[in-house]
Amino acid sequence: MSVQPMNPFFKEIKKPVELTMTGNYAVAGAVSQTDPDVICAFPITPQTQSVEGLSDVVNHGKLKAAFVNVESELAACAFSTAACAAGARTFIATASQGLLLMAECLPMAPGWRVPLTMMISARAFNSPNLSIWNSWEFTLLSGMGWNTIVSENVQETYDAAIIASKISEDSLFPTQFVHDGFIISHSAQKFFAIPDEDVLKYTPRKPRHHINTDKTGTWGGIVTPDYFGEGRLALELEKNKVLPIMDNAFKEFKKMTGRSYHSIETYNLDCSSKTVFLTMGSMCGNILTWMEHNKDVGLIKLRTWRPFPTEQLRKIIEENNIEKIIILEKDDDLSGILPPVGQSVASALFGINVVLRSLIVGLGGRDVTKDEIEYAAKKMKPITDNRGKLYDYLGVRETKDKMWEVRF
Amino acid sequence: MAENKEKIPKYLVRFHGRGGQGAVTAAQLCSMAFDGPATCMPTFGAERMGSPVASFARMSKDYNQVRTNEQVYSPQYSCILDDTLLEDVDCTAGMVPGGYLIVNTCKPYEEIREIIEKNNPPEINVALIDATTIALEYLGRNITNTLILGALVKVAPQIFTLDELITAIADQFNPKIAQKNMDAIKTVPDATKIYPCDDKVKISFEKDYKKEWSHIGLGKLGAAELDKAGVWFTDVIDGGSARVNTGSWGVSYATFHPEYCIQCGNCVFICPDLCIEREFRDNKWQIVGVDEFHCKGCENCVYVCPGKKDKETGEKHKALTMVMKC
Ligand code: SF4
Ligand code: SF4
Repeated sequence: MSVQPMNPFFKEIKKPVELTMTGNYAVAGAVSQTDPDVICAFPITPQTQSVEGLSDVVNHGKLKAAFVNVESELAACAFSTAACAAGARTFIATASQGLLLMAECLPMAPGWRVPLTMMISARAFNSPNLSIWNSWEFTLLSGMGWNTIVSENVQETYDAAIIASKISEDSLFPTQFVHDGFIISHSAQKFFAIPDEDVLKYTPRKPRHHINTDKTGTWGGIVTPDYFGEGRLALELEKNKVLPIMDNAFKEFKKMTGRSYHSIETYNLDCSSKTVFLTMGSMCGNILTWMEHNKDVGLIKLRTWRPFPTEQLRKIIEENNIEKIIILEKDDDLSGILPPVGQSVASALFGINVVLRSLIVGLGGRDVTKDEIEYAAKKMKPITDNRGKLYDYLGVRETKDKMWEVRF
Repeated sequence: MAENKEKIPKYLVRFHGRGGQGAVTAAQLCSMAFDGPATCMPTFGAERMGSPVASFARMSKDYNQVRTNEQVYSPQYSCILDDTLLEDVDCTAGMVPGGYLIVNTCKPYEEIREIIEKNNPPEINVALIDATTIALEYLGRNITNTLILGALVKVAPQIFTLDELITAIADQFNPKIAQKNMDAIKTVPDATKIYPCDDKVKISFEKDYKKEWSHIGLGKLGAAELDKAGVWFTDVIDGGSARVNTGSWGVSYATFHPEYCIQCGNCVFICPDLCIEREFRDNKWQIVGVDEFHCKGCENCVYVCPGKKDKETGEKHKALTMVMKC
């Protein structure tokens, strides 16, 4: 092959270096730097190059890891959960239908408290049609107990691969890191890679529970009603400790690289209209470029999706006297109530006097442009209460010659 | 402050090529060569060898201008790797007035102008480069993606220099291929011919020319017209690629010789584009020919065709053979 995408990661990275790579290859590079023991994944568009890139680094010899080819995503998830339970630092990656096929296995890693790390290149589920393009499928399967962080661009997804590994091992809950399929996975952007030595110092190997002949145990055996509820509560109690662990991981990351991340990041909240967009992922970049010329709206960018940073969000809204929130989300669930991101935000803000609406945009890879952003901001202006319909679709055709009118 | 910021230029370049010609790599080299924040992306799709593809690069010293992850709708520069695309795709779509269309071609300017005029382009400059000849001479293959960037340097030296481009190429390719590309690229600026437009038209590097909702595809069916959402009845919508002339991509196509066909059906199952034509005759389905509009010349059918012996000569003949297009 004349183009060698993983070239920069074949040798030791000794000092911070600027690279230009696609999101998937950048993730492959980052994961290789965290020195995983087991990589186990089944290819699916638009995730494929992440594991392809890792297979290059393993094949080259720089990374000594077991690269396991499995026959399906269900096998990938089962195999990697088990490898992680056996004590290996383990990475998997998937998207869309692959995530659905993994679903049977997804709850086990949180249940066993094993620190698996997974990349998701967000892609629509196949309904009503097959689509290989971006929607947020992960929000529809986020009740499994996995930590989830979402990235805006290639730099963030490279960094997230490293941060996620630390969050997994510090919290002993598996962590997913998500970027928008194609939009980030296949876009080449400039980013700074971190020296190998720093990455290893940031993600040290720590002793933890694992399948072990010295200390034997039953992993996932059957329990009667005597124990199941207690087990769930035990998970909940530990899960409550994850957000501070994430904050700490972000803080240490800043110390190492100077790049500052938070579970929630805010821009221009003291704007005159007291109206903010709230969204995650690549769309934040689109909004920030638009905001260069539109100074009267702010942005709340969610980086941490699970566990949901409820207290932080409440504090931000109250302290900045935010009056209106326009949620932009790339998912819908035909539930008759707010779509997934709207559901989470509304329940987190329950009891706070704020007006909110959710707009479903960018489904199945439809681009979200300044047109949608401008329309949403304008549409929100006359809205003053939470009566009537709280969500609608934006940027779709009603008929051949007519756009669907948002009806709040 | 806001006033000042708008003056920092933002460069938008689009590349048109066919799958396999390296349009995506061109966009990537572009953003690597630029000294400052830059992103690039392909039009997102599953590309097949030969199908029309496009890619974009977005560059500006002001990070916030290129932070967006939108596709590029109004490029100042549109680079065409394969001049047959001019007929299939509107390569001037959305272009900024005063921008440059850069075409790899051996055709004369008048002929190119005539083709692009069909799409009513804005007032634009045209630059022509016979990159294919240079590529064949230096690389031994018709890969012109790096060379078209040499032409871009000639018409827009303010984006990046030839030296910066060469450094990017050295980073991206293995040393042998990189060296050949570098040798070839140095000959490009002199070989590029420019046909300027009215010099009163001033190009803008700040303004956004995207037409409102241009990405929504008005004219295609809307939600209210999709009867059962995921079920596409073919009386409402053309199923699949019926109108896509995949046959324009290949250099050859398959032809059918009924006298050698044993009706085994191998070809029907192997053809990736469903080009083997069948008819219901004498109470059974029979192979009757090849759909030349869609045959892209992959030769799979020829490979699997057993054929049979000629009665007179006793020689074995395949019932499918390839014919070169002239
Ligand atoms: S060469 Fe044969 S198999 Fe290939 S597209 Fe044409 S008819 Fe189909
Ligand atoms: S593979 Fe050859 S012999 Fe068999 S049906 Fe097709 S054309 Fe006829």
